[in-house]
Amino acid sequence: MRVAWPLRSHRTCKSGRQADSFPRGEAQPDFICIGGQKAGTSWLYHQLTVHPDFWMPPVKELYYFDSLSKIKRRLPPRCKDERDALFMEKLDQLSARACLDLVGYGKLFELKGALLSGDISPSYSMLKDDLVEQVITHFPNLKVIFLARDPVERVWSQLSMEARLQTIPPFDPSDPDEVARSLGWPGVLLRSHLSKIVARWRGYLRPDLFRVFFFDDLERDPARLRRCILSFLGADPDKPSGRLRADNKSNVAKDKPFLSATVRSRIAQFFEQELKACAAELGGPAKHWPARYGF
Amino acid sequence: MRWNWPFKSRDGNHRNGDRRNGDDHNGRELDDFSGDACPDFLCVGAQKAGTSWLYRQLEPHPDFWMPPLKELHYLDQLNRTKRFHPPRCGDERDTSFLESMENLRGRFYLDLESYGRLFCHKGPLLSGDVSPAYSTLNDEIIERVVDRFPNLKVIFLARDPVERAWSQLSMGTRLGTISPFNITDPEEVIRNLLNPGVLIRSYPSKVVARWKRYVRPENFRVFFFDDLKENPAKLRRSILRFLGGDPDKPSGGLRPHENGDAGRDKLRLTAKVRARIAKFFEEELKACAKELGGPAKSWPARYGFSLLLFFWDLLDDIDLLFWCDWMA
Repeated sequence: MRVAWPLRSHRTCKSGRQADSFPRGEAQPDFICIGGQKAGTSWLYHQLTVHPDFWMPPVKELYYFDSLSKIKRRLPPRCKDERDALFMEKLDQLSARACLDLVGYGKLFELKGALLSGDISPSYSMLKDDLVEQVITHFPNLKVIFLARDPVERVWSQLSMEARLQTIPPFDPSDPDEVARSLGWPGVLLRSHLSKIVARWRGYLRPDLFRVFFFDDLERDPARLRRCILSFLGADPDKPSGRLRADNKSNVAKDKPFLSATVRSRIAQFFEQELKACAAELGGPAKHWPARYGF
Repeated sequence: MRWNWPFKSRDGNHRNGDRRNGDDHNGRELDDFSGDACPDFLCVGAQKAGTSWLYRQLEPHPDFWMPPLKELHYLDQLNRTKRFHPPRCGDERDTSFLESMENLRGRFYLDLESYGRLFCHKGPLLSGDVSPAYSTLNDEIIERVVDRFPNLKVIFLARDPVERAWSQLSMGTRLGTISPFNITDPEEVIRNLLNPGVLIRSYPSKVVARWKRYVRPENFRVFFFDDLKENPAKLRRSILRFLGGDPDKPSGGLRPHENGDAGRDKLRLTAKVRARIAKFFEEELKACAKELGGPAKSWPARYGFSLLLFFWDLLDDIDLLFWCDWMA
């Protein structure tokens, strides 16, 4: 069997649509947001989707670098216009291949035209050095954002979500040992060490292209956080995101089990070293994280 | 649903073998197996760099009791892998090990305490987990493992990335995990190198750097596939000595140069494709020469990168001269 180089025939899609009917932009994303999971990435996607300087993909998380987009999606993609449909068609074609095709991935973003666009996939926080290097070498001007959140709060939010979605077995949220065992789930462990994630990406990125933002600021002053992120991405922070306010957080109301003081303290103990590492490596609001737990 | 902690005596403070007896999850007394409840070593790869040879050498060696299957895949996949070979089932120890492993597989979280206790079956002998997939572990997991087993020795068998990748592609094609491709077309070969499963196993300098960040220098050692080809008896001696086994004891009737995998079908590698793969790995070949040393120092020269390496070293020397100048 011969594997044909996939992108040669892209000008005409399966449905016969002419891709040239859209203004073509550069064949690359302008930025990626690599997480953290449960640290405001959905809020960011919602803010950017309706901002006039952006054309965001019809699905928030492309999962290309980590899973070649071979994932089961819980939510249907946006399908507002032909551009959305074409993007999903191209993504499906790309996903059908076994190999990482960064050229093909970059071409997905031609559909943005003259606007900014990016991929918000929190699972990229788990990428290994080898893949991070491949991505950055291929897209040397890519901006990278990481939204950081206190590991104790973040993990509680993740465990609550995983239990709700039944991706982990239900656990007794009032039993510290049981909760501590859940922290040993690799999917939790790999997303919880922010200092390592940031160090991995910093090792390959130019300092001016990488920025850490904080969930603390989303809680405290979302309008300011929005301004900072938009400025970093090269967009106009004075333009509104449609009628969406900066403090709109549609995810916040989701059920979360009660976090008792004993369990909170047990989780904090589990992350003691990481909390200290975050204070040292990330700075900003992270400097106050250890003190919240008496460290 | 509530989880039952499987080992009642757990107090979280036992490190590398300060507890020797206990009950297994079936209530079976493990007094017969008075071993340290932890592996003595891990072999973290590389895939296609002689790890099967190593397992076969250690399995019949009288100083070792090796698990009934070579790759436990616990730290990367919690044992949830499809196995191509049935496990050894020689005695009660093997059966008990496999039972415990099956039990562990049912859990969704990384339980290093129970993983360590799998090795209680080794008794006073040495034992370890030879899982090349551990070369792909992230820092987060490596740190947990080394923190839990601070005296764990870690071995990495390094192989020239060009040869290694070709061997992996050959195996993948043979096993059907990689679709057949035109092996004479350099660009098609490169596309197959971009299979994430191949890519993340192809950078030994990064793998070694990751593990070195957490394992004490005296507990970590890189060995070379080059030595397996040139002088397997010497390599065997070096590894056994590092692991604390007696290199003078034979591995049953198995001789050091016997390698069951060596004769397997390999795809034909043309000079053009070889040069293209080398180009793809040029930076990594140089990084290996610098970081791993030993036989890796000659890897770039195999592909004509020696001149660049010479200049690179020269630049390092010039830096050193400047530094000496400055100090003076």
